[in-house]
Amino acid sequence: MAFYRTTAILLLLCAALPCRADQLTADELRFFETKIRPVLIRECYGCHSNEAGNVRGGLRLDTKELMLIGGSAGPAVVPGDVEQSWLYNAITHQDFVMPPKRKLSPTVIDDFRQWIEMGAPDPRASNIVEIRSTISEADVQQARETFWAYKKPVDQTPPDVKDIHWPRTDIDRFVLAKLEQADLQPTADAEEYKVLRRICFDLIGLPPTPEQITFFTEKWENDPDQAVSYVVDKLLEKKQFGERWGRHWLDVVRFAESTGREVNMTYPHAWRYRDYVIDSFNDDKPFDQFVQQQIAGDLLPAKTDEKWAENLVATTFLAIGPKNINEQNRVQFAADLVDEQIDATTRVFLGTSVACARCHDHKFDAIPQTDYYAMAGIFRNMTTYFGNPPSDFGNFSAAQAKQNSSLMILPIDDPNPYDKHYTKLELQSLRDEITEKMGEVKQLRRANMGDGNAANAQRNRIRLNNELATLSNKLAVVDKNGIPRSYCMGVQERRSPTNAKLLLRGEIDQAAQVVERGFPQVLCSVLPTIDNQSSGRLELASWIASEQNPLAARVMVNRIWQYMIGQGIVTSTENFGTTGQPPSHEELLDHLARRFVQSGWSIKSVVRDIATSRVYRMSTTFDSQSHQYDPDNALLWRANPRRLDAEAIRDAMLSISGEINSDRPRGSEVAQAGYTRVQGGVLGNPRDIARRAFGTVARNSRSTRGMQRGRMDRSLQDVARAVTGQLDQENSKFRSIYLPIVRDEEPRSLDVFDFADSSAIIGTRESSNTANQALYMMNNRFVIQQSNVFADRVLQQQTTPTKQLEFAFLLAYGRPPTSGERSAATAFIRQFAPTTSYRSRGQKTMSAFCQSLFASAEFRYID
Amino acid sequence: MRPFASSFTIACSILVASVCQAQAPIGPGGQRKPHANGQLRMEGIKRPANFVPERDPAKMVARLMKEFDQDGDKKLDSSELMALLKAMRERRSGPMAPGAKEGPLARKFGRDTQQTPATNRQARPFGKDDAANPGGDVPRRPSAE
Amino acid sequence: MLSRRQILQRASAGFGYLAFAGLYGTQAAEQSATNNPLASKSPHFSARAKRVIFLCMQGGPSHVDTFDYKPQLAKDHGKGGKYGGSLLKSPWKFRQRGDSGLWISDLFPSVAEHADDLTLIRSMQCDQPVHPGAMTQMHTGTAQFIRPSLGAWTLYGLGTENDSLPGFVSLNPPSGSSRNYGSSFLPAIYSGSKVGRASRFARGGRGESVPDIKNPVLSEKQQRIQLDLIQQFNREKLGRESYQPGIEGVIESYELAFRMQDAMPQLMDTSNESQATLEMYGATGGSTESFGKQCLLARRFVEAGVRFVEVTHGNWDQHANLSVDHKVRAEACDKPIAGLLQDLKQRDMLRDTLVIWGGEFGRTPAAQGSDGRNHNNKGYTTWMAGGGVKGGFSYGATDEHGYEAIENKCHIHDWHATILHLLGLDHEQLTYRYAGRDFRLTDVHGKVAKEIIA
Repeated sequence: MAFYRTTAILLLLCAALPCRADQLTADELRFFETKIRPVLIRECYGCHSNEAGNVRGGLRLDTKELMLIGGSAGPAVVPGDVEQSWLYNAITHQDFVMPPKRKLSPTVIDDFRQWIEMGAPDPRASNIVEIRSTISEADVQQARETFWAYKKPVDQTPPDVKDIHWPRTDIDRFVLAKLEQADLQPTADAEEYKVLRRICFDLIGLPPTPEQITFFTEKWENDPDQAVSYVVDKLLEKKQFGERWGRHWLDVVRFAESTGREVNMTYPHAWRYRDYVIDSFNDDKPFDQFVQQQIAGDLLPAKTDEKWAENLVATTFLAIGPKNINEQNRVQFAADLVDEQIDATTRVFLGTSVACARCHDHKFDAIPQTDYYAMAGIFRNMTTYFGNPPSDFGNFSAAQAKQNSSLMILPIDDPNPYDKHYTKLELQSLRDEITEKMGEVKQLRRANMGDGNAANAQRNRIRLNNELATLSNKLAVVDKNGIPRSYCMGVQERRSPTNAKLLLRGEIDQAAQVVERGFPQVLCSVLPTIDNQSSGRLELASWIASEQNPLAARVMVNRIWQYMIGQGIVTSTENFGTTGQPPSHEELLDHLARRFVQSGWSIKSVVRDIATSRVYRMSTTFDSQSHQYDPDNALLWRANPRRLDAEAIRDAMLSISGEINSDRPRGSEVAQAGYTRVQGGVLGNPRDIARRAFGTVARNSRSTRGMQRGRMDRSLQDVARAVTGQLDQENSKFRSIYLPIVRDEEPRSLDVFDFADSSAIIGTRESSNTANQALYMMNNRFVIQQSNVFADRVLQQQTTPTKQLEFAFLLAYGRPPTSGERSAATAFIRQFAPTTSYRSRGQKTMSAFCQSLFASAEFRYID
Repeated sequence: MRPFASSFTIACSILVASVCQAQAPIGPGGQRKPHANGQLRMEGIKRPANFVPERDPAKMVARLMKEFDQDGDKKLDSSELMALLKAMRERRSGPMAPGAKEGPLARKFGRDTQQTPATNRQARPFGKDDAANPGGDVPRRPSAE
Repeated sequence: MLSRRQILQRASAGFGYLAFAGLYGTQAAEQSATNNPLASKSPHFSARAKRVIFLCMQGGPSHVDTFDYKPQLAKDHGKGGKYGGSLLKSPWKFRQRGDSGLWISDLFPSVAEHADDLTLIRSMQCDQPVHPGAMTQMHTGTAQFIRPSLGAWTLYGLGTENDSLPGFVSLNPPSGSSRNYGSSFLPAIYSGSKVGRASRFARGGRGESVPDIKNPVLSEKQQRIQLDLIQQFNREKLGRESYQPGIEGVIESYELAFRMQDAMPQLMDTSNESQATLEMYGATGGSTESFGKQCLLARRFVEAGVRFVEVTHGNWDQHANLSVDHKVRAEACDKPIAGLLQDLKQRDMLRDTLVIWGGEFGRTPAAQGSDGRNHNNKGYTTWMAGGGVKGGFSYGATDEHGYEAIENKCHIHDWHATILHLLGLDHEQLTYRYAGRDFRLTDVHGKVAKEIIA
């Protein structure tokens, strides 16, 4: 009910004045009423008005605002400019033919021309003057001063504790103090191999090798603190650190390589951002720089072209969200894009859902609707690049991709390795083909007038259009010598920034007052000055990435904590508002936030602090009393048993089998496919993929003499799998972060273990337990193949069954088998071996055994 | 209220499967007029009059295999495979999914093809002052401090 | 040697731990009570419905365009709405259907033929105006916390009839929503199993709609030996920790998965259905193919003993383009739903199968833009059929335009209470002790809407 009450009050407060019509002269009014309005009513309202309930082409002509907004092609009326007014284009039968099948009389057409040229005076304006908020400045101030998250973090002194021997670091003191308050005790340390396993998975996402385990165990016996510290430092230097933590960041920023939604078009250059993120984590780039690059990289000064290119790639953050590209109305699309960018920026960096205030004051936090439009003013003044550039022939797009966009040319030469080079001849033939098809379209258009076969012609036109789009897209990305250019996604600031108008209920045709560009007041008491000529985005970026706002540091350290401990100090990692969860250890959070800033915003230093604490190395031993008191383990009386995430499970299998390819692949599968539509789980045209796959089979069959029937048959099955499983990438040996992430088509190996929804801001993944996962571990080809290789490794490196067993356990679990496990293994071999043929008995039995090690619960849990 | 992004991902999943099934036949016989240089298009794979292009890749592969399995042994030997590859090469990249409803006069491409290059009065998504340039946009260098 | 079934029946509430204790004949197994968590249980009182098919219309279909006839809305078209905006009449005509004379729009002509089996609940309410919150509340009762879903509670209360299949199946759920069919603090065995990835659903008869359902290299015998080893390792691990619901979940999931390998392909293979049946569901082609197949599968699942099946269809979230896209959505599911009702009737299953239809909220009577409606959570419509509800009945009402429920309000908690009641479960008694307190699906709310029960 609150919503309705609020809106009712808003409406009472706002003055919906009719006819405060921009000073229409009597002549103008008369012209409109006698010559324009009657024609509109008679000829246009039938299909383009609210009364008829029919909105063809997304175009309404029954209010002034809506004529200016226009429909899918553009504004119907641009006051003073007949050329740009699509209404005029339509009634003169140029690109459009309106009214359908008829032409208005020359007098009427001329009337419209005159009317537009005189500025299109129109009394049908609903001027909503001003919406006032129910959230007063006093409310905002009160929230800012009293709500815990809006007060800046202050330096904290670690509290005294009774058990002075337990803590190793300040973090431990904060935790222990609260435990002691609740009369609870922390559990004992975990066994050393478990500690190592935990550190390895958390820092680099891979299991420890047997050598590492031996080394660590020795050091631990001498001095556990030193051992941990040593390993942590070593691991922080590895490039796998960036691959592990980069993936966490990609979860948070909704990274994906396609638009998602109904018309799923690829982002062939998204991979650059992925690499940028990985590198940033590896370089321990100061987080404040990282933030600024992503929000306003195009505006940051850069000394070299390489740096400039890096900054541009960083702005992909703003361009990479899901998009409804079959949205008909440009203005709606633009508003939705800005909304998505505001939502991402505020929730990723500030844990605040400002986007809730698009349609009304935030229902829970002190964020009035004007704050939203203040930010909209900042974000609306940029061009977002996420599509494919137009070619010389123009801007074609496939039938349903109504909204398109171009790309930025990188200042350095760094082309996608898969981009096709064309010879002069090929280029010319491409151009010829386009010209020819355009001719065909023209013919069809002419034929369409009053012709019977209209439906057929239209379908042909659509088909031709799609073909033209493909060809044009290919031509556009190479220069005149056929050499592919280097592109990236991202944003560019536009000149002459303008403010946004508040929209009643967020509706694009219900504009009220103009709102000055600014930041949410509850987070920012003193707004930095935003120059007239700047959108404010650079200022926003600097403010977010500074101690001046109370949230950025807290939100980030909370994320780091969550990834290492299993739950955040604030468990609602994207929501630090009143509906989020309060912090379990408010002082600790502040302490970490302050240290983060003081360390120069170094993520690695926070990771190190947590990893070397005593809290981090507790065991997961259960205590029913503690559980009764604190079932969610908010006070951390033990370590949280955690199920590994999908990437860690897959990478662990690859690492243990030894097949893992530690290199970074160039680009991605999506980059290889280029700009295309994703349908039926396939990138682009299934025929092309099938052709390639059949081609591989043919090549293989040519190279062996008289290929056996059976092999050919299997190969053809492989073709089918290659086509349908293209996005599953079963044969890839790269780390999981490099798998293609196409919205709604995530690879099975990731999807099955709760991969993050790539269209959402995900700070905390789910952790389910399903029969689906069991089926995957039992039957999936990738798992079986990895088990085979694992088995080979074991059989080759160890000679006796006992040693083989121990080696396998050490690789998979980091420890030797217990006696119960030994006897189970022996029993297994005794039962299983006879079921296989003699020749490959050893191998097959060991494979099945190794698969059991992968499949068991211990493999996928850290505890 | 602002529609939440993640729920829209449903659109692709259901709609691809169930909604956008409007398929367009090529036209009678799939033949077209000879090209200026005398080459006939669309030779190779002949299509029936009411041909519906295959959207599901698995079904497409199955259909292709069936079509080229001339001796009916449910497998493709090397000669059948060669024939298939030849036909696929010769065929232009097939019609893509035409997608759902279009207004009878909606057009999305440049106008008069006799002008070079199209002055492109095409609707620009982002306002008049930044026309999308052919080949992509060159970013503006920020002031170096 | 104990059979699999016997072992399962002997296992105790620490289900996983003792499941294979039986295999080795330890005393604990001998002494255990028959407390298999998935075993079929009797409800609190006599049930009208034994199983549920929940047709979830994701995105929020507009009630004033489907099942809530508002003639005043048509009359007041264009006028200012109570909460702003201008009222938008429905682009579709409403007619009276069946003997009961229920007013249903032309968006659902086939479903409307079964009007005499439907109970329309026109006074639904929920607390969340946004999709994720509302979907979560619809499924779990709350948007604030992570709680078990309706299906999980149902399984907890009633068990399932067929232990070779998951007791709770979610067909084609939207991505990122596993919470809506999850089990939260209830034992993991009660969580829903996802079947079918939406974009790949319209594949042929025996496809791999459940991926990795068959092992490509091992025989069933070999696989069982392997599985015994896996479970032995799991059991040992469980023994080392005294409380690890995660591991128990893994153990249970393996057993279920093993049985599913046989049961699922049989179930998913619709080639033994008659052509007439396939056509009745619209599963033979066209826009109804995908959803038709899913409805058909839903019937097959419940027929095979699955307790709770959810089928999702969307996206109904038409903030724009309502007059076109709502029709497209409806066309894709109207015939399949009618086919499902017809099929259940023919097999005499409708009387004890509760079919539920609804979205997470409705849509505003006032327009959004020129051809759209915004979210409306204070008044919307869901319907039920079979499973003991009245036929041709309308419960509750909204105001003259359809903004909010004014008569016999049915909040999500009341809706949940009623569903559980039809299943023979007292929503106040169906509790689970976790962290020192008793939890239930309806928390501290919920009133059964007794009037809808036949």
